[in-house]
Amino acid sequence: MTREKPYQDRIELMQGTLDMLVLRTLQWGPQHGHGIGQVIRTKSDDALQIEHGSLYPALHRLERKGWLKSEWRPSEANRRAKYYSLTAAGKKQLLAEQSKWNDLVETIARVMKPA
Amino acid sequence: MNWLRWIRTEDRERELDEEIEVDFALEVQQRMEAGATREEAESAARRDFGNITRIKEVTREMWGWRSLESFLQDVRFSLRSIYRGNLGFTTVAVLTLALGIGATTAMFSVIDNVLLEPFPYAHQQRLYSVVIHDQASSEPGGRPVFPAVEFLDYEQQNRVFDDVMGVKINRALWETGGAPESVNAPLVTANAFQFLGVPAMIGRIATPSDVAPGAPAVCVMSYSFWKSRFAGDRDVLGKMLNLDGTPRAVIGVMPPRFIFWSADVWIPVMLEPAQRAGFPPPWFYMLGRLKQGITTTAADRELQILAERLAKKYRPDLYPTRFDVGLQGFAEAEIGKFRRTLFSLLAAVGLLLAIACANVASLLLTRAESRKRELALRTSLGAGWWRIVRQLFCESGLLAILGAIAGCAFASGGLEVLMAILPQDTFPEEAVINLNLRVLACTVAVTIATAIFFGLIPLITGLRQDLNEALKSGGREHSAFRRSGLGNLLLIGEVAMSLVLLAGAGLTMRSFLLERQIPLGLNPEHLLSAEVLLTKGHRTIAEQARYRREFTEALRRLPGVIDVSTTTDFLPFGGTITEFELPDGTHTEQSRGQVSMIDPNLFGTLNIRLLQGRNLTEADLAGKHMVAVVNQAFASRFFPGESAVGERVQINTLARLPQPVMRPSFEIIGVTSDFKNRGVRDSVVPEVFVPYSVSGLGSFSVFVRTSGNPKTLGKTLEATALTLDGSTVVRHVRTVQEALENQEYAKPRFALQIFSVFSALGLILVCAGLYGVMSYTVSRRKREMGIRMALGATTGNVQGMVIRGGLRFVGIGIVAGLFGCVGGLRLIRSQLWGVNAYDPTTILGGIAVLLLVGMAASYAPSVAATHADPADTLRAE
Repeated sequence: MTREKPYQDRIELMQGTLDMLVLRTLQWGPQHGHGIGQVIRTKSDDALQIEHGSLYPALHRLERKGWLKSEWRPSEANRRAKYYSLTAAGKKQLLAEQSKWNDLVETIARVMKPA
Repeated sequence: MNWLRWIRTEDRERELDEEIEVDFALEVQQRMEAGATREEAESAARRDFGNITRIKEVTREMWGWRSLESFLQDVRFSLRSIYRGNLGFTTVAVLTLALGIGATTAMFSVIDNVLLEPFPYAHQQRLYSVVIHDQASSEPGGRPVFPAVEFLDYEQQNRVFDDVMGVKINRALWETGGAPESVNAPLVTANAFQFLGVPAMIGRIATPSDVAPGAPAVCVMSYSFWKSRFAGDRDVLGKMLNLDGTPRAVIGVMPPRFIFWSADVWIPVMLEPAQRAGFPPPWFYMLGRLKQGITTTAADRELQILAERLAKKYRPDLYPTRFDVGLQGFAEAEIGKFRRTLFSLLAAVGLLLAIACANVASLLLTRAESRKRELALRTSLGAGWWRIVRQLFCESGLLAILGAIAGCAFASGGLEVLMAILPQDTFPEEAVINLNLRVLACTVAVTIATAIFFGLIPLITGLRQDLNEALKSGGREHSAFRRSGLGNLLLIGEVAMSLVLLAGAGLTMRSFLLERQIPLGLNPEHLLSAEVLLTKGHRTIAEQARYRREFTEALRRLPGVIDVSTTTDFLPFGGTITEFELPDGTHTEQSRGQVSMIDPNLFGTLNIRLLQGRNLTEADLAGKHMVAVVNQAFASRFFPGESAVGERVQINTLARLPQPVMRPSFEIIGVTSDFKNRGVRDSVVPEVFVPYSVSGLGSFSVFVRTSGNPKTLGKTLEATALTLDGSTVVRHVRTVQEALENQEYAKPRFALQIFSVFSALGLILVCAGLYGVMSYTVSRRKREMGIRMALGATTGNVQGMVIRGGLRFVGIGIVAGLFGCVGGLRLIRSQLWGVNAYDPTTILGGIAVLLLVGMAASYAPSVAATHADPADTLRAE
């Protein structure tokens, strides 16, 4: 049984962070859409549930921008699946997003910290 | 190849399907591994995934929402949706649009070519002539011509023009070796061609060096003259034309549209201050190009100061006691009052276009109502909001494009019709009227505006609705029928605009009919007229008089001729404007009127009655008795309540003719009945008729009263004139009826025709719109009708109800239209004759027509309403 968190405990994704999460997930190696969703979910302890309605558009968008490439390979479900992997440009983008994200978190933390 | 994948959309679609399918399978597998049954896992996964169609749709958007493929899909879908099952709707909508666009384009083309760019000349909107206007005159206009010496003063001393050119009417005798031919050879200042900014088609234009002392004499030829006399032979360049005894080398041929002053050839001349008075007098028409940034008012002021100074030098011959100087736009002078007519017709066509748009919008709106469910269904099946918006835009855009294409066809057809009925004398000959690029741009703008306008309407009503509501209501649409306020407004607006158009058409028609009934005071039937110009052979008064006598006698001998007469002025449209002096001193006010030099037969030929005294006689002509006949307007203005006969009148204008009358004082010997002498619309002005033998102008008009069709005599008349003197020029041979039709009735008739057509089209559109809405209403209320009939309503009751419903729209529209009339009809006031712009009869007539149309349009739907079968309705409940 999958343990499901009550809905209130889930975190709304901030605009633009999904792309970063996807890129980050693929840093460990090629993965198909379902896998990417699962990784984000488990890593976030079920706090982040990616809607399929946002996942596929995000994947196609990133592929279009040249940050991901895709290929069909056999999967664990005994049929081929579409595996996405990072391109060189994607790796660079991930680094950029990550440092931007760190800056953002730091800045917001400074603002939110009780004086 | 990666990029190939992006192009081959079917592969891409299949990939997306597979991708989602695999992920779905993986999800199910994962849940089963966690211990769920297959059913549980599948339904949980489905919940998790949500609307798969929707996911695909959103993902597809990501492929590029502007991608060709999805656009083509929209277009395909639009084509299908406007074709399939909606052919009737589409046809009506496209035709409606085409009507609006076509009419607007045709009208725009005329306005553009006639008002904005009639000439091929550079800076044509900045070309003005200078007019010295006598303040004592109630007539507009004045003296636009200047003797060479005064012309040079203006040219050198003015500070408002970049450049000035002069042109003078001139006819020259062209000696070809055979019979000499009289050609129209205006004299132009040497800078004229540079001033007008048109290069020669072949050869070169004349420049100031061509008139330098010692330079060889040259001339420039017009295209039509070149084509007709030289068969378009390029070797004409350098040929010598012997004009009035001077051999002139042809240096260039102008392009077809350059027909300045309707010349055959132009002769460049040098203006000399000391140019002698001669025949005809050396008056130059002045044309200046206004400096950029100077308003006409400022220029008028400047020129007034200059003219006041020059008046001291040239008074009293050239300047009246009190005068204004005014600039007159060159194009304005040619088009004049017709501008107003064209603008009011443009306003009318604007109304028509608005009606057309409202009609299409109303049609689309009606359809949007019935498409609510379709849109709701598509939304629930996963169509995104943007996709539906695009789809609706695509549909209306497609309609607009089809409308525009059909509209262009309508426009070119309409333009041909317009050209056929456009009065010939009202626009410059140079104007080429066709559908040009600017006009096309206007059409496109109109089309796009139209598309956006009614593309929005289904969006407003179609997407604001609650999906559930729309789906739930299903086949039961009784609650759905509450036509939006917008739809009603559109229809009411249509009716209102149509009333304004109808009233406009009605007023133009009444005005035209009244104008046709104005008594002319003379009998225009069986009357031929022509203008005869005598050339160099007839210089003296005696020679001209002899020619006139011989000519009339020769004509009178022709079979079928009842009477012949000549006059200096072309009656009934004008005479020479003059001031009268009445020597008894009791009449101190400015006395203006006109004078004509006639022969004794005039009154007989035109069937004008002599009221008092006697007519002129041959003895008066021969003996040069200073006697005159006056019209009744003259007698009653200057001698009210007493007899004018025996009084004297002095006409100083005659003393300023090229061949002056030395002591222009005349004894009044008779009074004639009035006839129109200032155009048909205006009242008769006082006129004095003096014997033609007192002077000679070198030209005269001839009137021939015939027993049969006067038209057949035209050729004979011309031949007779040429037998007497081969160099005579006979122009404007036409019947007086024709002249009246062309000069007096053509413009109001044109306005009338256009207005009638527009208002008829407007009515058709209103009728179609009303019919559409009423049919729709009835189809939606069939159940209600059925119930009413089941409860005992008669056919008459139901029909009456529907028709009353239709008439309610028309009624409200009429009230709105009355307000529109108050504003709109003011525009055409200046073109009306004898009828008030707010003429109640005409407006009531328009209302009656609209009510009839309203009834007609509601009748068929009302019959359809009675076909509702009560039994069916009840069963359906």
